[in-house]
Amino acid sequence: MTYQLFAGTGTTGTIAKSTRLIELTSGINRSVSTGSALILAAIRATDAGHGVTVNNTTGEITLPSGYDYYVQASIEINRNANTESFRIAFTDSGGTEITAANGGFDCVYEWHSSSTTTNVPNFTLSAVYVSKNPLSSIFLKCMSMTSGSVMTQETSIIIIQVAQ
Amino acid sequence: MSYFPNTGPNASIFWAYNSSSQQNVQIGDYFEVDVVNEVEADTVSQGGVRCDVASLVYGEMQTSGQSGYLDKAQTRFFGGATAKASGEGFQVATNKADSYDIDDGNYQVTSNSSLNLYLQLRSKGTNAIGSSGVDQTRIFGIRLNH
Repeated sequence: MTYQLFAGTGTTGTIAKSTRLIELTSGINRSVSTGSALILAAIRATDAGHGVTVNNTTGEITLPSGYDYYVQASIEINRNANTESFRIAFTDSGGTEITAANGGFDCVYEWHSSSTTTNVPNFTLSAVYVSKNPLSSIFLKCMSMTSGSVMTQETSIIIIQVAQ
Repeated sequence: MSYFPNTGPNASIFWAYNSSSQQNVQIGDYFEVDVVNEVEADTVSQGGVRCDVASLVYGEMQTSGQSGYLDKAQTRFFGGATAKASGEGFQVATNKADSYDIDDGNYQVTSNSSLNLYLQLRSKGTNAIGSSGVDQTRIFGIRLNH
């Protein structure tokens, strides 16, 4: 099925834009640590023809050109220890984190003590990549995470692909 | 400055964030956004988005826990077609009994509305006086239909 977004003139919307929803999951739990790519290679989509691929070894996600993308990762980590913190972000093909200016927004969990009541962080548990000029290749990577932690199979990426 | 989705072509996805930390956020205040994509400037003096067509909007904010920054803050979307108190980011020590679960991220589905939609501070922890800062505010939107 292909869904249509309306983005035409004024508030009525006159131009239908072909839109696909694509889900990436792993199906299994995977051990992860700093530098690891999260591998979510099982693809489910509202229709064929989206062209998105995932490398089942490297975790590379390829995004065909000619579309706008909203990519949101909902992440569940079983931490190695109660006191662990972690950070996960989208990177380019060279492993460089995609900055906010280029559409990248990280996921951060920072542990704090149960006795701490001040100066504790508010975190983000979704990592996002959004772009109208998308990179052809992205990765979802652990920027910091202690060895022994596990990405659970509940982790997923939802991709909204809108024809330009 | 507030913003509303661009009504021209290719406006189905829009997003906004703040380019630098925001200080002195008090309960009831809005988290500001000053970098916008596929939205246009409005005339209101606070950061937000105006969904003049039905949209799914997602927003959250992040702080580092450094001194003087907001702690244990709950946020919600405010304004727009409805005001829904959906909390996010109320971080407590999750190893502790009787602690809160973590609810991260705010969602709202809006109908057509000329009202601005803001991410607002609903409650906060005990840090907080004076310089309550936020590292990053993010708002993403998918424009659906009129």
